[in-house]
Amino acid sequence: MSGSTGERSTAMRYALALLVCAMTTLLVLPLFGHLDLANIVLLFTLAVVAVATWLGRGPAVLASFVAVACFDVFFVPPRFSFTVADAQYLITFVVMLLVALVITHLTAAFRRKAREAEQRAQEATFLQAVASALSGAMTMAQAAALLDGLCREHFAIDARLFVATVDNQLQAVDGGGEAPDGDVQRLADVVFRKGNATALPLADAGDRVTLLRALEGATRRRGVIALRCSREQASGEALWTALSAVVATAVERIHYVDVALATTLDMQSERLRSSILSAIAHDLRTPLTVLYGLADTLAGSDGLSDEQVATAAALRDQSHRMHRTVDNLLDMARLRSGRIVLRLDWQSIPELVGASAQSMAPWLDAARLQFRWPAALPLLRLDALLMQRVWCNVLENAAKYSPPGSTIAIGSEVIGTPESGSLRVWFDNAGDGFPTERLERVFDLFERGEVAASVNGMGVGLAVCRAIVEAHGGRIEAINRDGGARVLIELPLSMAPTMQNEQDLR
Amino acid sequence: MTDALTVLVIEDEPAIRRFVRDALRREGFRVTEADGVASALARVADALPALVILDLGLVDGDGLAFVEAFRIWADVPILVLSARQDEQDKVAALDRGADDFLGKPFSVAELLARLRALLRRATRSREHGQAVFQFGDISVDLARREVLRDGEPVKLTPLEFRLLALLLTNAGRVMTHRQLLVEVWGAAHIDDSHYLRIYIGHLRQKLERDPALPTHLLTEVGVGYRFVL
Repeated sequence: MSGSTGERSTAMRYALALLVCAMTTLLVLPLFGHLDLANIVLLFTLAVVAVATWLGRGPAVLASFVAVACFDVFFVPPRFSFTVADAQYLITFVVMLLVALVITHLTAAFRRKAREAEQRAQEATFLQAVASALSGAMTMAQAAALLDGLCREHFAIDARLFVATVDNQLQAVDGGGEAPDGDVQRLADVVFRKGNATALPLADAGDRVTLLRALEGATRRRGVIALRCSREQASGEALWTALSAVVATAVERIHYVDVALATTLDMQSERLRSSILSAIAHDLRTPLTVLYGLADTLAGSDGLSDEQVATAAALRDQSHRMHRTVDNLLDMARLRSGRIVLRLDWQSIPELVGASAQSMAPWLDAARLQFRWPAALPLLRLDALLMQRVWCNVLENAAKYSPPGSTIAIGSEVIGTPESGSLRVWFDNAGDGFPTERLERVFDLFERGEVAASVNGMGVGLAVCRAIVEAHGGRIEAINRDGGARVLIELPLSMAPTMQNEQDLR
Repeated sequence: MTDALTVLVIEDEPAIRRFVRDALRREGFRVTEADGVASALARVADALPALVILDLGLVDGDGLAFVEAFRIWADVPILVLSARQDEQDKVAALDRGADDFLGKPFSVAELLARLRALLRRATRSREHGQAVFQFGDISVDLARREVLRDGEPVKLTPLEFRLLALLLTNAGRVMTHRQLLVEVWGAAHIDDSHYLRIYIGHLRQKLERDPALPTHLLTEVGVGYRFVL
């Protein structure tokens, strides 16, 4: 990019070439008579070499002709005239001219190669410096500042870095330099969206242009660099392509460092959350277990009045209810953290609902339950423990909001095909049904923050039901029927596993 | 009871230990206590209890470690106490040889019922097996491969019979999914839990008075099955 030729105007270089020829003539003139004409020819040739080396090809060609003319006029007899007495000097002139021109050509080629090599070495040093500097950068801002600093130092170029944000918007990185103007930002956006196809340099007020290059990462486009440089610098295609590759690698690496950091933080907070949850669970459950056990012992001991037994039994039942509420709340907290891993296994709905009803036996009159299972229901992929919670809560709710002794009917049907269908399970109770104005929001407690709804007891349990059912890809709905309420749960079917028949198994 | 049976209670919560101890003493058991795995292992080395009640959530470490160390040399029944959330620990303890579990909070009556069932089974197996079982209106003779309901034969497939026999001989214990699958279907079918669901369903249809609310072949959700005679 730089060099002696670039710094002088063309006319100046030609004038200098003429001056060299004149000086040579003046210096050699006093030696005339002492030197052989053959040696004088060599001195002129030397001058042409000097011009070619110093001033480049054009001035050297001029110098070649002028040198021959000077030699003819000032040294070949008859002197001070273009006339040549001896015809053999014509051969001298031709050879002298040819030698001068060949030397000019060779010297110019050598000069150009040397200049290119120097430039390439400079570019390589630059790229290496950028790569090694950026490899130490931990943040985008650091990378931007380092890039800008190196571009200034090596080429007097301003460099700006733009990187893609999480939602794939292009954002200028603040590396300490001046903010990019609106045009640059807009063009950078275009380059980012379309790639290098639109990377035309953007002209400046002065003689400088802004060159934009997309940063292509291994998996996707990571950002854009904007280089404010001279027009001549802008034409150095290979260098800027290489630079954008180096910067893209660095930006991608920093991106993954960020991702790794965020993941570590996430894992740490998740671990903290789950250990806090289990500590709370332990601290809440232990006293309730003691309370329940003591009340139960008391209720079963001899020598108490009926009233005392009833009080002990009430204590026991309330502490158990509290325990279930704690379980519901803890499940809700786990589900809400969004990271619950379902332990899916093939489950039979009638079996799970039956086992849930049995676990509720002390608080639920099993004689009220009327199961109407169709023959051969398909198995479903479910987390058995979480779904048990759903069935228990729904059963408890159905029993609580219906007249004592009234029937709770449980039914089921398959909707659609085994590949894409679902299984519906419903629980029908008698009574007034759900409050009409809250029908849509029965499962919403936590969503709307309507703490008041929990006063009459429907809050936590049903909200947990919805969270669990939805985690299974299903849905839950409250419906008022004639003379009662229905809770409908719909769960997706999966392809049933194959089963070998008995003869093959044995 | 002329010679009182000893029950070892391993529980680090003093209040829980207290009401369990009181309940057991009222029932005529002798009670020894330990608050951790180390002291429990020392206690059983001194005198072998007839039964061990073990809390899985011990502070000083893994209740599982006790089950493993103890099962190497003793076949005394182990009843595990656990919170609902410790599902994997519960299953691991049962797979390693614990006999039954009780979720917290538990009623004293339930605890005693489980305890008696385990002691009965221990006596039964010491007396070299039992071939005839009676529950509800069903009687099963394992030796004759005969199942009768009110005197009428009930037809079971060979695998149904094998599953029923396994559950009956282990009545009072919780059998994990894994144990049942390995014993009945073989190790290759260890993950085929759907086999179990189907066959248990069949057995309930054939043996239970109300298959929807079984009283003998009980589901322990997420863990396995328990047969109650």
